[in-house]
Amino acid sequence: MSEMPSKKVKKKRNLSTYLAVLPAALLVVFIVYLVATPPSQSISTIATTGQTNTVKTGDIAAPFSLDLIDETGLKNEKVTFRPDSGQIYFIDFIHEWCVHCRNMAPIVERLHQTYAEKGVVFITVAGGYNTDAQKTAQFIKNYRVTWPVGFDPQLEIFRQYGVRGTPTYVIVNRNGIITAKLEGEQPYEALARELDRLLG
Amino acid sequence: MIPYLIFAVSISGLFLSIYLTLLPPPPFCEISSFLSCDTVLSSAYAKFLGVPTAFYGVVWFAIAASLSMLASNGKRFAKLALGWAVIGVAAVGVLTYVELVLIGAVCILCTAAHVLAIAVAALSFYQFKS
Repeated sequence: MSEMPSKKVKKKRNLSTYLAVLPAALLVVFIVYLVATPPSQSISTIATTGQTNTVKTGDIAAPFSLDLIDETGLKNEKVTFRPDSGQIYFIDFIHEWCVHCRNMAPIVERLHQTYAEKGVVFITVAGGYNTDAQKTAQFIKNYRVTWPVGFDPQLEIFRQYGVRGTPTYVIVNRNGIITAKLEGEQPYEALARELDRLLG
Repeated sequence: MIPYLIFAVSISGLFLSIYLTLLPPPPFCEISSFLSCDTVLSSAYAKFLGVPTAFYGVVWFAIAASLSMLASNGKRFAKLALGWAVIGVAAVGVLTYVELVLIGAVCILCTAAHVLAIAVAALSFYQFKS
């Protein structure tokens, strides 16, 4: 009779020991995974774009036209992207609230200083998710964006280009083909390398 | 019952911390400039000694979960679990200060992890007392 409770206690102790090992094992697996694939958090996701990477390198870029926005707000003009114009384009998709876009602003400005004079056309597509034109204009002012910025309030162009988060950089060659699509914060060298390749 | 409850809460915190370590913050986390996971998780304080701050949460919750089970078998481990809980609460205090004062923004997912850590600490204290 007295064996029953002791068996129960032993069983409970065994279960506790197994459960105690489980989190430690999970931790070891996680550390191994982290070492194998370091995390990248340098992108701000946007639920409303569908989160699917529908556009990739090698695809033909789709033309678009958006309302121009500058540091004073929306203008009565359009920013037009024509992939068949024979020019190299650097398009960056941003949101004014996106910290990674703010981190990248000096790098994109540096790229613009170097590559605009070599003929690369810079266009920024500023999304309207969780923000408005006024805040976007403030971003343009604060980060001294001097090239054309198109405001995409409904994220239509974001969807068209399968933008899953900001910042996303799309580089289009003279034939209108997307040669690079980079998501998240990037080092200057990575973006410059893509442009140098096209400038040949 | 209490050890299993601590275990369950710790495992929830463990998975939340893994999420915060690996993945970018979800859009619902961006409520305003003050309630912004993006602001917190991309700040200079998002890493400590070159390691994502959330990873320390993974380690803390994993050890807290293991200790909760070991504590149910002996007083020595219950003491250890209590000590570990105190470290956790102190860390939550520091992290909350960093968010509110140094960053000026709050990450709601991080706050959820802090609440879980405090719950683990409170339950560990209760387990030790009883």
